[in-house]
Amino acid sequence: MQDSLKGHVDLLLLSVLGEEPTHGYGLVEALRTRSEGAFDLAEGTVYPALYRLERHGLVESSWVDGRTRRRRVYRLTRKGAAALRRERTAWDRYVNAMRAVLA
Amino acid sequence: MTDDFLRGLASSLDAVGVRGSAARRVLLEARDHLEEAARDGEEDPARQFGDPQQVARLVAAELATGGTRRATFTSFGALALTGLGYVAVFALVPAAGGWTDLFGGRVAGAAPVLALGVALLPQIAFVAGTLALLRAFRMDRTPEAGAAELRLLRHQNWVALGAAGGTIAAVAAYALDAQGDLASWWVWATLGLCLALAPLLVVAGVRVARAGAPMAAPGAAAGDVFDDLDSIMRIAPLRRLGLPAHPWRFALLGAAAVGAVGFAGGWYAEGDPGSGLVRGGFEAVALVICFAALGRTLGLRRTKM
Repeated sequence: MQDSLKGHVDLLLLSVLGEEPTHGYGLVEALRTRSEGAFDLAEGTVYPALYRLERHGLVESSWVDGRTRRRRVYRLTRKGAAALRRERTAWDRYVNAMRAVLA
Repeated sequence: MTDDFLRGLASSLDAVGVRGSAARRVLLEARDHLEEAARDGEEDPARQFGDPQQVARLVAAELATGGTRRATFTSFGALALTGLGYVAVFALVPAAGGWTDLFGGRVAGAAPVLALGVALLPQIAFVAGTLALLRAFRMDRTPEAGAAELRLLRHQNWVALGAAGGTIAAVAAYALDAQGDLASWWVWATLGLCLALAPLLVVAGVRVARAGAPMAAPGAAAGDVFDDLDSIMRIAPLRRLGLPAHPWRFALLGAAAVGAVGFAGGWYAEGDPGSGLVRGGFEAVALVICFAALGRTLGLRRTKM
């Protein structure tokens, strides 16, 4: 499961950020909760993936002052939202095709 | 516990060349992450975060790719401004008194060096800068580039910036050599422009050098210009030429094209085909020599593994 997850981390991160802007730990928690514990990443590896998405202009981030400390909050850009829609469509097509063959 | 982990992460980041504000950001985010996880009652947050060396390597690989790519855009910006300055300076020569005889300057023996600097170096800067830009754009589609790919990109930038630096030095030398023959406003404007452009090239060079600090992913071979132009190389007539496997064929085709343009330009400018032949021949021979000297450095032909 973890190996096949590697190729889809970007889509998963974009999908979580598509719901609401959040910080790194919030992303990891959302992934874990939504997948009911199946997607249990080495949490630190989320950050390089976020930096990569930032480099591609799909995500932007800024420091936000919280009650106790500053934290880096990530949000989807317009380009990121478009990429998410595109990737979701491609994924749906892939899953439907797999299902049709495996059924 | 958290502090111990962060100390380990800091030293891992330093070991792979992630320093300064980039390292501070990673460490601040990691601290926030670990404290939040501890507050949530997560068991052993540091272990959940992962091996600090692996995290540091992934961060470095990403920063190496992004940083080298951004440095290439800075470099190309500096080159573009230098190119505009170069064109403006020579476009104003007729208004400043007309072209002077390069071989009749004040310093005996300087003419061939000046001619090479003014005519050949800008072309090298243009080609190397364009190759770097092409590669940087292609990287936009790659997750992270390998060390060899990024090294080649930095080399292309170095050659471009070096040639541009040589160009403005030659232009400044030409302006000093032409004092008295050309209007003084042109001489001073040219020297001022050269002085203004030099720091831009230096800043771009520093950015390229800094981009090489984070350790890139091992990755595959550096590839060459044919990888960067993959979609164009798939066009049937070009594919049939087999250029990626025969880079010298590519060089000779380029020399023929450049020679033909030089011939036509020389004939038009000087009014006789003999001058066109000299100029075209010079351009073609220069291209072949540059290909032999810089082909591997610029990724025009593959580096032997």
